[in-house]
Amino acid sequence: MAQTKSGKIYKSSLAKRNMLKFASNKLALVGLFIILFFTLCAIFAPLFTSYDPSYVDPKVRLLPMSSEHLLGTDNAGRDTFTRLLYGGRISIAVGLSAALGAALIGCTLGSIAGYYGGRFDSFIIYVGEIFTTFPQIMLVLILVGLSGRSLANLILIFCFTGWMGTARLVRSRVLSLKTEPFVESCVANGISGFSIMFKHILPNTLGPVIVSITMQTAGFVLAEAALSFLGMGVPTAIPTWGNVINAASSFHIFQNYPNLWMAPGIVISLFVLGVNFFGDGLRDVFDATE
Amino acid sequence: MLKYFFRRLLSFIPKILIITILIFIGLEFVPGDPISYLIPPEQMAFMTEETIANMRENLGLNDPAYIRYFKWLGNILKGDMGYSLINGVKISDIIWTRLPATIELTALGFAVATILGLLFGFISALKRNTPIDYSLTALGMVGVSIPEFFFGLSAIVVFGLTFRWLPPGGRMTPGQPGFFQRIPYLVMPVLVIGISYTATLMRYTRGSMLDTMNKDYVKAARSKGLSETRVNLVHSFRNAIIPVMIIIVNRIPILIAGTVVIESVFNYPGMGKLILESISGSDMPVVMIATFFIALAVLIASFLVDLLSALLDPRIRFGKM
Repeated sequence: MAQTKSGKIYKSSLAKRNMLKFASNKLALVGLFIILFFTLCAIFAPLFTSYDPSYVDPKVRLLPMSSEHLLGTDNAGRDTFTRLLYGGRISIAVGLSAALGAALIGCTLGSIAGYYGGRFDSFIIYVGEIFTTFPQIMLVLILVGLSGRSLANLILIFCFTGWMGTARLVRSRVLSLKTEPFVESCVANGISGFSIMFKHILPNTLGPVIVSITMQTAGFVLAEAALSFLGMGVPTAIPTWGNVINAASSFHIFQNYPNLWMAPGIVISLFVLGVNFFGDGLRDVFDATE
Repeated sequence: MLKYFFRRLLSFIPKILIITILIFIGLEFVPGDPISYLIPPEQMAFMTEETIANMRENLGLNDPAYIRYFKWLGNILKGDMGYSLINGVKISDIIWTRLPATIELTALGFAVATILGLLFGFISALKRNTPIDYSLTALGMVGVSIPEFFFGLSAIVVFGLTFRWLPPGGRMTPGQPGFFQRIPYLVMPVLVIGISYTATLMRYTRGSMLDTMNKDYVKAARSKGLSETRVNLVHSFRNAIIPVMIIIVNRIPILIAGTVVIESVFNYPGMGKLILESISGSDMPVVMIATFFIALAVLIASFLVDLLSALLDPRIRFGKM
């Protein structure tokens, strides 16, 4: 009893120390604040605007910034501010869910490869190397070309092409962890390999995995924006940050209506910057070596 | 060194073969009849059903897949890659006009990024925890967070459209194909690619430098009374860049991926723009072959950087690793 109690105290003090370490990192807090700010704005979008993000009104095309249209309207008469708010929903959701999906694949393959080693391990490593030979955006472009543009397709394709980093990370952690005494005791107690891998070893790798999920979210938000800007990402009818920029599509608009593309560009940059700050703070907390 | 060279070279051959298999499978999945990209379209227009059926037999399209794969591979090696579905131009001709443009752009961007990244990382580590270090780190963070295409667009609007210092897009003025005449067209895309890639490199260089600067042999060199410049450059920096080289290799695909986007922003006629145009036009044979060349370029580039890092690391050079 006393032992479990002291164990708990130790755990909570570690958590407390980590929280304090994170809180002392000002950039990380700024990052967290930016993420929360944009996410809340996106979730509560209807509270901040009364327009419909997809309502096309040719009468109000290309209006300048005003109190009625905070960031003006685009070529089709849609309110840019509204589209940015609603676009955040899709962009953040795509980034986060793709990062989680990719991490899920990466954790599974990495754990199995690291724990069992042998042929499966070399196979996974090799497949990963082949995958990384193709630049990710190119794989994504081809797969989008073959499967058609849709939100679900894009997320699946991101997962399918983004698991290698996490897999490599988890594999190397599992390789070093599986020689630890706690794993030996699990084996001695007859716990199944599956259970050792996913219940006992994997939780110990979660720190770096969370960092990599954060960083990948940033990467996928950027990738979604780039693909939608190129007209190969989320279908144009759905507002996303990339599609908002995509709506400004000629030199004439670029030069004369900077509000249409500067605003989404700045929003994307700020959000990604926030995620990067946050991820950096997490890395400092989780990575004892740095 | 020679042994290392050949071992690395040999390990690329199976990879290239696997990539060709993947590309072939991709081509198999392309909707439509393979004959449509194997025969020049002007020839096909004058053929009857019967001759097309004969052609199909002659080309071996009725053979099992693995035989067709080897025939296809043989044709690729001979430089015969089929024809574009859209305009009937030989795919090999398209590639030969587009590939050099992309290599030029990527190589220059790569050079800019490597020089700036190593330099700033070096300075940042030497001046660690000073305002210079902080501002470089902050700039780097901002650099990785701005989408490349947004950076490119801003550059076009400022320098291309507003001040008109540089052409807003394209690769050359018609009739002036020389390299020096093309420089104004290259400045913006090269800098945008280079600067986006600099931030990551700077970060790794800084970390690696800090690691190395605390090593015993660096302290030993300093206590021997060597000059600070010599300690920093020859003893720390040279060893610090070896792990950075590995990061550089791993990031080459990302650099090339950036090129796809930047080429479209700057309307630059390279492979990336080709792939994008072909995907929107459902010209999958061109897409597949272009992707094959990109993957090949990534392999060759990582091979070269590998060799370079071997040259820097005597443990590899003398075959101890």
